[in-house]
Amino acid sequence: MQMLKQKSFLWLLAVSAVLVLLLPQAATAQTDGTPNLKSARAYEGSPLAWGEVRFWASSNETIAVGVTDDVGDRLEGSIGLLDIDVSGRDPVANVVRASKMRLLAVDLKQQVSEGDWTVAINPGLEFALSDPTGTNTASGVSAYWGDVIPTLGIVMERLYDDSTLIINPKMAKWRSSSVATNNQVVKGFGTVVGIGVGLRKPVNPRLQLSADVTAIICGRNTVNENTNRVEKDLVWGISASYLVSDTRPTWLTVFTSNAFGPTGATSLLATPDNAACFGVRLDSTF
Amino acid sequence: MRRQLPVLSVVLAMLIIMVCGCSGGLSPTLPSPDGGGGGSDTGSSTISTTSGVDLLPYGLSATNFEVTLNGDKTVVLDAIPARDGGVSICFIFDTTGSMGNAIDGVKESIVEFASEFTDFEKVYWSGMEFGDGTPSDGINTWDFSFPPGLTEGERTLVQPSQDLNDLNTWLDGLVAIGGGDWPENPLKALMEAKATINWPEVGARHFITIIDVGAHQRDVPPPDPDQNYPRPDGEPFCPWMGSEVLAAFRGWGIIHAVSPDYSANWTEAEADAANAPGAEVTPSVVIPEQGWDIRELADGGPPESRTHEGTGGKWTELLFRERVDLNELGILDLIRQSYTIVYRKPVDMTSAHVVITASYIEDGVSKTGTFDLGEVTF
Repeated sequence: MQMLKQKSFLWLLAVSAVLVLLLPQAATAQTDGTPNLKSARAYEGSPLAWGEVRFWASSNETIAVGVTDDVGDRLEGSIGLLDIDVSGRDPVANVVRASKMRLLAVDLKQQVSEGDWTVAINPGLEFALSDPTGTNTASGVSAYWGDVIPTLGIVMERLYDDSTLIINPKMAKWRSSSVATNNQVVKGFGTVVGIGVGLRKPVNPRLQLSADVTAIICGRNTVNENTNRVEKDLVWGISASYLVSDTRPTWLTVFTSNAFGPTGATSLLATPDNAACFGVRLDSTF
Repeated sequence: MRRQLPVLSVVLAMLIIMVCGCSGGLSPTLPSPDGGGGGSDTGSSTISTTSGVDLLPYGLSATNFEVTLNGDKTVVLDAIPARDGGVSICFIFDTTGSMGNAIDGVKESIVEFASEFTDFEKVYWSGMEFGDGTPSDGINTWDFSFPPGLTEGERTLVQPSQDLNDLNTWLDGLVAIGGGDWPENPLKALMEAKATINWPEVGARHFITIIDVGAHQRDVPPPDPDQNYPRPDGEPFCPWMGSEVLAAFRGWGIIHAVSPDYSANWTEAEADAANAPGAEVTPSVVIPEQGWDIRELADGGPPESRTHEGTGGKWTELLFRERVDLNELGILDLIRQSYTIVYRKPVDMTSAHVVITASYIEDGVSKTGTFDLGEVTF
C-alpha cells in the first residue's frame, strides 16, 4: 500500500510539473463539456493539455492526463493516459478489492452538424497498457478485463440563452465475463450503454458551473458493495470551472463525481455505493 | 472579495456534496472473484479429526486452512479453536428402561469430564432425552407404556448453560423408563435439538448421543418391528431419514455416538460400491429389528467398510446395560482440538461439497490434514 501511495504521489508531481510548465504559454483554454460528457463542438485552436486528479475517500487517487487538438475539419482528436491503482479501504462483500488499470485512450470527435443542435460522433479506443485487473485481496485471485475497449458516443448540444444542454448517448464495450486466476468465471460490465444529460451554465466570464447524469440502459457499470455483483447505477458529476488568470488563461475545475475517470469507457463506470471523489482539473493550451 | 464569493460558495457546496456523497472508503472497483460465485455470504464448518488425521494443534489460524466448495477454492475468513471460540456440548440421551446404568455412569463422570474444559473461554452444557418420543411430544402415554402399569410421562431437555449445575440437575432428574421395543428415536431428537434449542453464539457444537439400539427412520413406520407400542395417532415415530440428519449436521455440529457395535452389518462390498467414482452414497445400514446404525452420523462406520464420511465425531461401543464413563469415550481431545472454520460462500448456495485442508508445521514436521465433509447444507 505504501508503494501505491508513493506511486500516486509521483504521478501527481509529474502532472503538476507538466501543467506548471505549460501555464506561461497558455492561451484561451476551453472547458466546453461537463465532468463526464464531452461537448458536441469540435475543439479548435492550439493543442489543449489537461490533467486531473480524483481524490477518493478511501485515500486513493486516480490520475489522468491528456492532450486534445484540432486534427481536421471540425475534427477533434484526443489522447489521454489514465492510471487507476487503488484498493478501497472499505470492503466489497466483506473483502477489500483492489483495482488496477492503466489505459491509453484515443478518440476522435467529428462534428457533423451545427444549428439549433450541434451534433458530433465520437468513436474511440482505449488500450490497456497494463492488464485491467480486479483482485480479491483476501484470496489474491484476480480477473482481467481485456486489452482494448472500443467506445462510441453521439454528442448533441443546444444553447438555451447562455446555458448549454448536452445529450450524449455513449457506449463502451467491456468484457462481459472473465476467467479469473482461480478459474472462476466472473461476470463483468459487458457492453455498457448509457444516455448522459448535462447542463453547463456560465455564472460570469470567469466562472461556469456544470452538471451531468448518465443513466445506464444496457450492461452493468458498477459493483454492488454488498454482493460483489455487477449492476447498474447512475453516473453523475458536478463541477465548477474558474478562469484562473486573464493573462495566463487557464481553467481550474473542481468537481465531484462517482465516475471512474474522464475517458469514454471509464466515464460510464460508477463506484460501488455511489462513492464520490473530489476532483481537480487543469486545462491549458500550448 | 465580492467577486470571489460565488467561487467560494460553489467550492463549499461541492465539498459538502462530496463529503455527504462519499460513502466510506470505497473507490473505483473492477469486478473481482469471490469464493465460488458472484455474491457472497459466510458459511462455517466445525472439524475434528477421526479419520486417521493427527489432532490439530492449538494455535492455527485462517492461513493454515484451505476450503473448497464443490471443488472451487474459497476465502477462509477465520479459524476458531474451540477453546477460544467456545464450545457447546449437548447430550442426546436414550432414557428408556435399559439405560439406567448408562445414565448413572454419565452422572458419575460428568464432573470430571467437565473439569477438562476449565481453560475454555466458554462451555455451554445442554441435553435432550428421548425414547420413541422426544420433548416435543409432550406428556403422553405411548412412549411410557413399558413397564406395564405406568400411565404417562414426558421426555425433557435442558437448555444450554455455562453452569454445570443446570446440566447436573437435569441429569439427576432422568429416569430410565419406557421402551420395551426397538428401535428408539435419536434422529428426531437430534433434529429437534438443532431446531429448538437456544444455541449460543459459540464456534463448535458437539453432540454426545448415547443409545443402546438403532434408530427409527421415516421409512420404518409404526408399528415397531416388534409391534409393541405404536403411536396412537398412526404417525411414524421419526420424520427424518438418517441421510437427512447427516446432511443437516455436517459442518454444523459434530455427533459422537455411543452405541452398539453393528460392524457385522457393514460390508466391504457395499463400501466399495459406495466409494466408487460417481456413486451416490446414501447412509443405509439398517440392522434388522434394531434400526438404523447411528454410528453413520459419527465416524461414518467401520473404516474398512465405511461408505461415507460422518460428521467427524467418534464412535464408541456401548454394550447392553453397560455404564458409560464420559472420560473413557476418547472424545475429550477431539472436542478440545476441534476448529470452526469460517469461509465465504455465494449467497445463493444452499449446499456444497466442502473439503477443508489444514497445513501446518508441528515439531518441525510439515503436516497436512484433509477433512472431506461431503455435502454440507448451509
